[in-house]
This record gives sequence, structure tokens and C-alpha cells, in this order.
Amino acid sequence: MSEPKKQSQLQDIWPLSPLQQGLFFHALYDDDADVYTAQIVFELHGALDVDALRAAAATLLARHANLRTGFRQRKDGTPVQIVHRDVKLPWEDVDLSGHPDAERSADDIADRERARGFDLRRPPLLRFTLIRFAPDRHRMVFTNHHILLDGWSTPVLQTELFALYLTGGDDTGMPRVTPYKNYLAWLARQDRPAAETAWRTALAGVDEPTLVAPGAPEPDGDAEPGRVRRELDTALTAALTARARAHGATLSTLLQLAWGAVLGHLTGRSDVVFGAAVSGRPADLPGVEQMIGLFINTLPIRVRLHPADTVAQALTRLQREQTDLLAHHHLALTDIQRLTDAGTLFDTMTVLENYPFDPDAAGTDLGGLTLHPVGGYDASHYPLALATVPGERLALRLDHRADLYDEPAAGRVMDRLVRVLETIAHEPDLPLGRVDVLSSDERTTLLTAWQGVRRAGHPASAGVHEAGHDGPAGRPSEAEPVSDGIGGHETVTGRLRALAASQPDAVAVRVAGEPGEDITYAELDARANRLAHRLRALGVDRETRVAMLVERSADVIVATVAILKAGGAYAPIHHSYPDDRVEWAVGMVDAPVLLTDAGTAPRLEKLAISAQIVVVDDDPELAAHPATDPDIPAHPDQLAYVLFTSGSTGLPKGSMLRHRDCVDLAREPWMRTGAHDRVLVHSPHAFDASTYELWVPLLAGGTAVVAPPGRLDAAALERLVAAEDVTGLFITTTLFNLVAEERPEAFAGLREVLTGGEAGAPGAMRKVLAACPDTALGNVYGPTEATTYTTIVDMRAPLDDPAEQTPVLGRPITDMQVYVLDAALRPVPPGVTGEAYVAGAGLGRGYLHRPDLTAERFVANPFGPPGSRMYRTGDLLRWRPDGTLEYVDRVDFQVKIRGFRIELGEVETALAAHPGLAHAAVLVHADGGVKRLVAYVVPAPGVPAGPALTAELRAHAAARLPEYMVPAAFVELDTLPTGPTGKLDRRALPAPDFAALAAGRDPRTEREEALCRAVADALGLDRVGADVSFFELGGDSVTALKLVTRAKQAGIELTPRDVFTHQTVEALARLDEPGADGLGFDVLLPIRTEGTRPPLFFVHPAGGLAWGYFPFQRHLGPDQPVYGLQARAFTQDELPGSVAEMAADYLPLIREVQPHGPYHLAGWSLGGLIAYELALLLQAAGEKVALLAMIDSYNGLDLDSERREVLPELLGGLGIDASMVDADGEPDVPRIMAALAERGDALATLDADALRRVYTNYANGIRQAEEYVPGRYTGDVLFFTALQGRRADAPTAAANWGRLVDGTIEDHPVDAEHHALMEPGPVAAMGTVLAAALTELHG
Amino acid sequence: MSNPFEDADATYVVLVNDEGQHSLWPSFADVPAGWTVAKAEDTRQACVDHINENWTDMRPKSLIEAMGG
Repeated sequence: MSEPKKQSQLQDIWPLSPLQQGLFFHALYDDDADVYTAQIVFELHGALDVDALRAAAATLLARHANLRTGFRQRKDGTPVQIVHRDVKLPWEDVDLSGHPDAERSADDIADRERARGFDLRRPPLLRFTLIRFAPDRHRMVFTNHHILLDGWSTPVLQTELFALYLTGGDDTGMPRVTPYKNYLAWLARQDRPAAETAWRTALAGVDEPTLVAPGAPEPDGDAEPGRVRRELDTALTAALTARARAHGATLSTLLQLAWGAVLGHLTGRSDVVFGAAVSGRPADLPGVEQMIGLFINTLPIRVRLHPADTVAQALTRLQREQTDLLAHHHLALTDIQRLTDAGTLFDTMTVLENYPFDPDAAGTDLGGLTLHPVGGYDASHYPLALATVPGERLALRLDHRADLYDEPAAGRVMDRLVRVLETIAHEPDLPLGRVDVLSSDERTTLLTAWQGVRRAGHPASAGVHEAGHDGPAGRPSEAEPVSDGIGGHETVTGRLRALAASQPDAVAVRVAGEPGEDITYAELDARANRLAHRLRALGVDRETRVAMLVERSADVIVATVAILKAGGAYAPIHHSYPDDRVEWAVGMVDAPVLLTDAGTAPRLEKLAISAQIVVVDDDPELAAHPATDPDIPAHPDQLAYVLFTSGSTGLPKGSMLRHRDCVDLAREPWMRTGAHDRVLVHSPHAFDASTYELWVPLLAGGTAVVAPPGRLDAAALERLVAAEDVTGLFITTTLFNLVAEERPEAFAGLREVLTGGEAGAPGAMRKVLAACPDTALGNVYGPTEATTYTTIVDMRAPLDDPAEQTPVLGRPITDMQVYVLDAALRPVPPGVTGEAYVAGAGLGRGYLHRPDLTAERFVANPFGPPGSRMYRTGDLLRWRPDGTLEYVDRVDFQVKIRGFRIELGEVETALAAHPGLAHAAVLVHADGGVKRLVAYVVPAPGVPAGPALTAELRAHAAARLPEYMVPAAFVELDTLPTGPTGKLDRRALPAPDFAALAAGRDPRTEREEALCRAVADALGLDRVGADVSFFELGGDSVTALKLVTRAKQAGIELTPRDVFTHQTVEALARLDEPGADGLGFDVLLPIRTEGTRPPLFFVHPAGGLAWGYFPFQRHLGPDQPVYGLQARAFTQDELPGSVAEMAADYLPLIREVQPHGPYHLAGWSLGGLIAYELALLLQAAGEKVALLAMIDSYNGLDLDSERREVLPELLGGLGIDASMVDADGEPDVPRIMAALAERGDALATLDADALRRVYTNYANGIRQAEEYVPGRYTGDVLFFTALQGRRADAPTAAANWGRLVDGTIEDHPVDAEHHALMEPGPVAAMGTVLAAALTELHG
Repeated sequence: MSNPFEDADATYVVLVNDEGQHSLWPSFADVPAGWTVAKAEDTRQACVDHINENWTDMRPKSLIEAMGG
């Protein structure tokens, strides 16, 4: 081959290394160029030969081909690096000698160089700037694109640069450079499958990322990270080095273990992953140490922190794991992350830095010239990044994103790291679980300062309870405070007796609406005494449990007191228990007597119960017993009551509470402000709120006001409060939310309303606070096992802050403690989620007849008085920095529905007992704020699946479980999904089929339609059929009230009774008349009608449905109404002619909802064009358009060529994975229908006809998008660009719209393909942007 | 989050206090003041069995005494 005359500039073409590919891709789409710009700055002291240095730099470029590469994409999109034969040396001399502010100017130059960025196509991607301060003082600013070289290359580059400086640029004697190309070849030789296997093994079981800042906003590209530095002393440094060596570990591994331990503490996890920068230079590539280039890799480091492993064991194990991975360091991080289920694995980094400057090299003599490092810049955008620089004194630097960690917070993290390093150095045999991470100040704050006030001398403060005795005479305990006026009694009976003596005529119990039936303290005493004698005669003695199955009434209160007076403990059974369960419960507590009332007694006739039944309001034998006190001694630690709570093993547990616990709650200062002196008794007796309702007023001389039987609605509640001067009441979260919605002023007559049981809704609370300015709102939290209330907080102050989105829990009440602990039982710092352990007053005795369960849950307390216990709640909580607690989640499968605690295991066990089932799993699904139990069942072999089985299972469950534990839906599966370890993978259970269940027939009349919508609303469903029972869909007495409210809003009067008796919309509507058509296909689709802000209208994409926009509502906040606009194709046959025609068609519908601006419009794909046209029409009408958002919409594109995309995009629009169906351009209706049905959600309700309409609509829409010629728009545009699958020639938003829009086009890239934009991830990303924009508009 | 009391593979001890109350306890953790080891390190099941066999009266000792046994 003959040499060409003129050498081509192109010397070679190389592929990119995986890391280069990553950087290339990001640099292409990221505007923050400086993120990928690195910089090294050093000073040169002494006489400098500038020409020699420049010659050296030029030779450097000539020697290293990879410093002369530019980056481009081939036509097919593959990136390549093109090696240029020679490039011009980018060199700039700046003379600042004599400049008045030379230092600052030099800094400015460095900043400017960094900000300038590089054009990847034009090599070289580096620049030298030599600043002259004085003849003997220069500064070199070397700036490069990260894609060229990494930090480990820096010392090599410097060494070579100055070696060449000494020779004036002559490299004759220097060793040959190993070309970067050899590294690329080495990469190609690596066994990729083996590496993937190794990483998959290393990360097995990691199913969640380890994030210190989950949900953190994208980093601001300009913000410099904060930096906290610490230098260890030589002794500790030496000890650490020795420790590593002693266990065959590297210092790097030791530091990773330490960071892992700190990270475990920061995240509350015992299995953590973080990133580590590794040199990435393969040991088996000759000459690799002397290479300049990009080798560095970021790899996930997984550290398992078994609390029982010693420091030494953990170190050895980690070293072994890391050694096993050494050969596989070449895999790119993105490829590794793809091997796990966790996606992005981490948000913290570590790097052991032996660059940019070898300390030994500093000050190297170069012909009279000395080198002095000034600094460098390598941006890190991780929330926390730990850099360590080895040396005689180990230097630690923690880079922190200043918007996430302020300097003190980062300082605390650094302190913890140093403490952990000290432990590692000196205590190799300490189990990891005992490594102290917190400082003693932090411990004091968490364990003491933020806890409940300690009452002096209270037994709970002294640990093991003293043997106080509180018999008939009443023995004042020396420590008892007298502030509550009736001190001296630690038992319920002792206090009541004292009150009967001191205020005999005060009203103890009042029957609402029946003024003649008041019971005074003296009468309560006398009546309870009679019954107590009767109970004694039936065998009730101290600690004997007496079962109760009663409707609330004054008699029930008398009976409860009587049981205690007889020495016994009451064990109330919930009315909703089926017969089997009632029988079981009576036996479980060994009750010799079952108390009931005349209304309930008939139910008991058919039950097999050996206990004697006493009807409290109709007992002929009662009169025969004396009214005198039976004088049974009571002890504060004696049992007062047993409450049944759901048990995971299939049967309820009996939680045992003591006299002391009732008394402690009653004298809690929060309860003694006067607000809880007249308390409404309305909760079921078997519900732990009854502890508050009875004993808080009665043990302090107040009045318990008994509400009439049955469930109260908001109006009744308001009437009762006013008529009976009620001062305080407790209401479950569910009911509270309902009242807040319907009649928030219902609480206005109260001094305080307490609510709790589930996570509260700040919106509902704010409504009540606004409507009841003189009423306090207390949010309560606590397990039954610790007497109902553990923390209380007044919500008015916290919710005054409009930014507050969480109902905080506040702090523990008097004498109570809440410890938030990690898996090693160590307190976690504020902000970190841990499990809550409750200690102190009110901690009950445990579970009746269950020493095992008791010992597992009521465990030794390391933080309290000697010998004391703490209760493991299973609740995940965290401290806020201000010392208030916040609820996060449950640790296990306990759920709460309508305030009832439910162990899913109990439901599963009950179902599994059915012979027709092989397996059963139960989950809670929350949709639209309504929580429902869903059972997943696998029929036994040979048992036919189907509606018959479902009906049978429902009946089976109803016979064995309380009504609130009967699943609302049954989903039949062939097998239960399992994870890699063979355990049930709950997350893989398919979404519940409520929509299918709800499908039924479409409503036929306006009235039916309105009612369907009301039912759907009440149940949190998208739509419901007119012929489906409200109760089959999971409706219950509470949601029935909600339905009544919703119907009323739609102008239809219903009563809860109507709902119970008529059940279906069809039947309910017959209480009246006719109209037409299909819900869900209306042109105007109400997605969320509530909220005070101007609505956001989403216009349908080409497919015509706006259903894809439903998920947006979650991200837009509760105050943002959202509507969809859908094509007419579903309600009429002719198709619209143009985008303009559609816009004109939809305009009146929008204006009907919202007559005047400001308008908010958005649309995806074709929808963006229609929204744009709507914006023009509205502006032409003189209206204001405040927000116009276009989601990957372009005008004037030739879309015909993309016909292959039609089907995938269409399916994407329906939320179906396009790859499930062959994209051959033709709709295969049966296959798509099958795919839709498989999803088992609302889309499964699309019938073949609707689907065909979607398709025709789509094809029509594509044509119209091509033909649309937009006019000129004045205003800003919010744009979302789908990054993935973009064609190389696809226009940017600016290019496509810029000439038409008078205003800015804010372009947000979304990491998804066009047709996948309505998937949860992209919706979340876009939703956040939209929410921010709307909040900015309307605050 | 894994719970130190629910790890079937870990080892535990059984603690008891002056009131005769029992507590399952992970063996890696320090024994809190006021508690003594009633059963040395063993499997979780063995510890739970020990508790069921030995903690037969769940009333605290001081109450048992006050009630006259």
C-alpha cells in the first residue's frame, strides 16, 4: 500500500471504554458541562523556562494518542473516539505580575477555564494555562475533560511533563508509552459473563438502594460541595495500618468497613452499599502504571454489618469479598446496577486518594524549580463522599452536598467515623453491634432530653415496681404527687372509692340525651358493689378475667367497675367477632362469667360457652346482693383488663394491662387540663380507646358521657358535643378524616379532640383546626400494650407551617420513653429510621398465657432503670432534628384498617384452614386513600377456581374473623410468587383486581352515573359498575358514610341505611330517573375534582384516552384539581378533522369547569399540540394561560416514517410494555386484549370495541399531528424531552418550538422512551417539576 | 430493617429480672443492668422453649408475694 501524499488527520478510530461511553452519553445530554471538567492547579517556584515547559506539553500530546482523541457518534449512534494525528497545543500565557489582585485574578482564570467546558468533537480536550505572578513564581492551570484521564493519571502526567521539561521536550530516552488502545483491547478480552456472575453473587439479596438522602432533589450543578476535613494523629494512623495488616486486609478495606458502619447508622440498615472509586488499572496489562487515560471506575461496595460479627471477623470477611471481585473491576457501574433489582444502588462514595499529588513528589527538584500543589477540582455531587489520603497522618475529607448536610451535620458524621475508626483500631474483638457510633451528647439528647418528663419517685422511673399495696383502706405511697387532688391511690378501685367518698353527688356517668339517667359517683359505687358481690359468688377473684360482650351503655360502665371491684379484670370482646371466635375468646381468658346485655343476649343462646352468662341490664338476682364494698384488696400491678389484638400466628393475643396503667394515663398532665373532664364514650368497649374514654374522666372526678348505640356520624357527633357540653373525645383517624371532610366544625364545642390510630392526614387536620379555632387537636400514638397513648402532640403549631406535610407524633408523655433503635439495639440519630421501643409508665404486663410472645416483645431495657423492660412496637419511626417523632412505616405485616390492628398472618392462617386452598397470602392495598385487605389464594389441586370458590372463601373468613378482617377481594393465582430465597415475594403479587371486580355494567342514567362516581370516589376506585354491590367492593360502615356525603355533593340524598339495604348503584338509583353513557370514556374526565387551586387539564395523546394521567395526581398535592380531556371517538363514530377542531371542541368543557383563567394545560405527544392550540384559543379570548406543559410533543414532524412505532407507542399510552406485543404495525386485537387482561387493572375493562377506537383514534391523531401548523404563542413553555430512544435527527424543544414561542422554553430531560413516559418513574419526575411550577404559581 | 429479635439464624440468651420476668435477648448485645442470664447462648427456638417452660406465672414476683402466692 502506498503512502498517501498528504497524511490524513485521522490516525485511528477506537471504540470507547464502558466508562467513556457513560461519560459521553451524559455529557451529550447534560448542560452542566463543568461536572465533567477536571482541573489540576500547581505552582512552580524558581526560575522557569516557559518554552521548555511548552515543548514538554507538546511532546506529551505527541506521545499519548489518547490525549488527541475527539468523540463522535457513527450514523447508527455508536460513539467512537477518533485519534487525530496531531493537534495544536492549547496553551495560554497570562501575565499577572504586578497585578494588584493577582491571586483573585488567578482564581478567576481557573474558574473561567472550568466553566468553558469542551466540545467533545474537537480535540484536544485539555488546556494548559500558565499564569505568571513573578519571574520566579508561576501557576499552571491544567484543565481537561474527564473522558480523557482520571485522577490516578495526574501524577504520571506531572512526572512525565517535568521529565520532558528537563530535556526541553525531547523524549528520546524515555520508555515507550503503552497505548490506551492496548487497554481497550484488554477490555475486549475480559470474560464479561464471569464478571456479571461475580457481581450478581456479590450483590445477591440487595433489593433496595442504600440512600442517605432518598428523594433528594437533583444537585445544583454550580453548587460547590461543602468539605469537612480531619487528620488522624500518627498513633491512630499507625494503629489502623497495623490492624489492617494483622487481618490481611488493606487500609482501603478497613476504611470501607468503617464507612459501612457509619452508613449503617445513617440509614438504619445492617446491609449497606456505597460507591468506591477504584483505579481500574488492570494488573495484567504491562506498563499500566505509567499510562495516562481514563481507567477509574466506581464500584459498589457492599458491607454486611452482622451485629454479632466482631470487628476482626467483619474486616476479614470484607477483605475476602473484595479480593474475589478484583478481577471483575472492569464492569461499568451501570452494567452492575442492571444486575440487581435495586436500580441506583447508593448515594455515598469513598475514595482512597493517592492523587493529585504524591506528597513525596512535592518539592521535587527540577533544575532549580520546585512544585507546589495549589488545588484541584473534581466535582462530586454525591450527598456524602469520603476521600482519604494515606500518609503518616491519615487525612479524611468528607465532601457533602451543602443543601442536604450543613456543616455541623457533616461534622457529626465525621466525628462518628473517627469514633468507629478508633474502635476498629483498638477493639478488634468487639461485636459490631456494640460499636458506639454516637457521641455521649447525642446519646443524652436521644435517651433523656427528648423523652417524657420524669415524675419524681414514680415507680416507672425506679424500674422494678415496688410492692405497693392499695387495699380498701388506701395506702398512700410516699412518692405519690397530690397535684391531681386525689393522690394516694394507684389502683382504679382505690381512686373510685375515694371519689365516691369525696364527691358522692358528682355525676360520674351521663347517658347522652337522657338527663334523668345520670349516675353519681356514689351510685356508681353502690351499683358496682352489688354486681361485684354477684360476681364473687360466681367465682370471680383477684386476677380472674371476666369476658364482656356488650353494646356500650351506662350499665356497661357499672359492670366494668364491678369486675374490678370483685378483684377481676375485664376482657371485652368485639361485637364483630363471629360466633366461633367469641367462644374461643371466652375460653382463652378462662372467664368463669360472660357479661352481656339484653340486646346481645339472644346471640349467645346458640353459642357453646361454659361460662355463666349474666345480663347486666336484666339480672333478677342482682337486687339480692348488698351495696356495700366487697373490700377485695387490689394491687397497682394487678390486672385491670385484657384486650384482644390481632396475632400473626392466626389467633388474637390478649394484651394485659394493670390498674397502675389506667391510673397513670388518667393523671398524665395532658389529660388534666380540664379538656378531658367530660369525655364522650363512643368507641367499642373492646377498642383500646375505651381506656381513655372511661378512666381519664372517671379517675379524676369527671364525667363519662355515653353516646347512644351505633356508629356516630358527623352530625350526631356535633349535636352530642353541644348538647352534653363534652370537653374532649378521641376519634380514629378514619372517622376523623370523614368528619373533617363533611363537617369540620363538628368539633368546635370541644376543648380538645384527640385522634390517632393511623397516619393522619394534614389536610383533614388543617380543615378542622380552621373550623374550630378554640379547639385543640391532639395527635396521639401508642400501642395497646403500652396503654393506648405513648406520645401526644398539639397539631395547631406544627400545621401552622404550610410546608408541614406529615402529622408529627411529638414526644413521649410523662414517664414514658420512646427509643428509636437500629438492628443492633443502638439509638439512631435524628433523621434515621429505626424501630420504636416504648418504655416507662403504662407498659403492660404482656400477653396472657403467652410467655414466649411476651419475652419476645417486652424485652430488657438497656436504657432505663435496672431490670426494666421496653416494648418492641414494630413501628418504624424517626426523630426530627427538633426532637419530635415522626411515623414512617411498619416493620412487619401488621396493618391498621379503620383503626383496627390487623396481623396479616392471622387472616392468612384463617384462610389457609379452608380445605380448598393450597396457599394464601394477604396484603393491604391502599388506593385513593381507602385501605382494603386483598387475599391471594392458590386453590388446592383439583379444586376449581372461580366465583364459587371466592364466595365460599368469603363466607369461610366471615365465620372465623371479625368483619374488619375479612378480605375485600380474593385474587386467585396458580402459585404464589417467591423470591430467590424461596420466601413469598409480596411485592410481586399482582395489583388487586378491584377495577375488574368493580366493572359490572356501565351506568345508564345520569343519576346512576353520578352515583357510580360517588361510589368510586368513596372507595378510591376509578370506576364502578352500576350492578355491583358496594360491600363486595370493600365498602363498610365508614365508607358508607363517605358515600352518603359524596352523593349529597352530587345532589342525591341518601342515608347510610339506603346504602346497606340497596347496596348497588342500580338499586340506589331506582329511588328515582334516566339519561346516558360510559363512565371513563367521557370527553371530560375528572381525575381529581377536589382542591382550591385552578385545575390542571391534561389533554389525551393520540390514542384518545387520558387515563394515563391518573398517576400524576399523586405528585401534584391534594389541593390540585386535575382533569383529563379525551377524544370523542369513544362516544361517537366520526373522527375529528384536525388539532384545531379538537381544541375548539374541548374548549367549552374546560370553561365549564373553570370559567376564567389562569389556565393550566398539559399534554403528552399529540396532547401537547392540542394543549398548545387550546392555549392559543384561550389567549385569543383574553384569558391568561399560566402554565403550558408539553410532554415530548413536536410539530411539523414527518411521523409516517415512524409507523412502526405506532403500536408500541399506543400500548405505552395504555401503560403496557410494548415489547409484549410484536410491533409489526398492525393491531393484533386479541393479543392486546390478552395483554390488557393480564394487567388486571382498570385497563382490563377496555373491551375490544374500545380498543379498536383507541387504535383508529391513534392513527388519525398521528396524521393530525403531522398536519398541525401551530400559531404564535406568547408565554413560557414547560417541556419534557424523552431522552431514551431518541433519533439522532430528532429536534430539540428549542429547535422545534423556539421560533413560535415568545417566552422561554424550559426543557426537562426525562430518562425514558417517548412511549414509556406514563410509567411511574417518568411520571414521578415530571410530576415533581409540574408540582413545583404550580406551587410557584399558587403557593 | 432486620430486627435483632427475629433472626432465626442468630443466637440468643434468656434474661430474667428480679420480678421473674423473662426476656429473649440477642447474644451479641450487652446484658442490661438488672438482668441476669437464665439460659446461656443457644438457638432462638431453644431460648423460646426455655421461656415457655420456666415462666409459668407471668405475674411479677412482688405481686405474687403481695397476693400471698
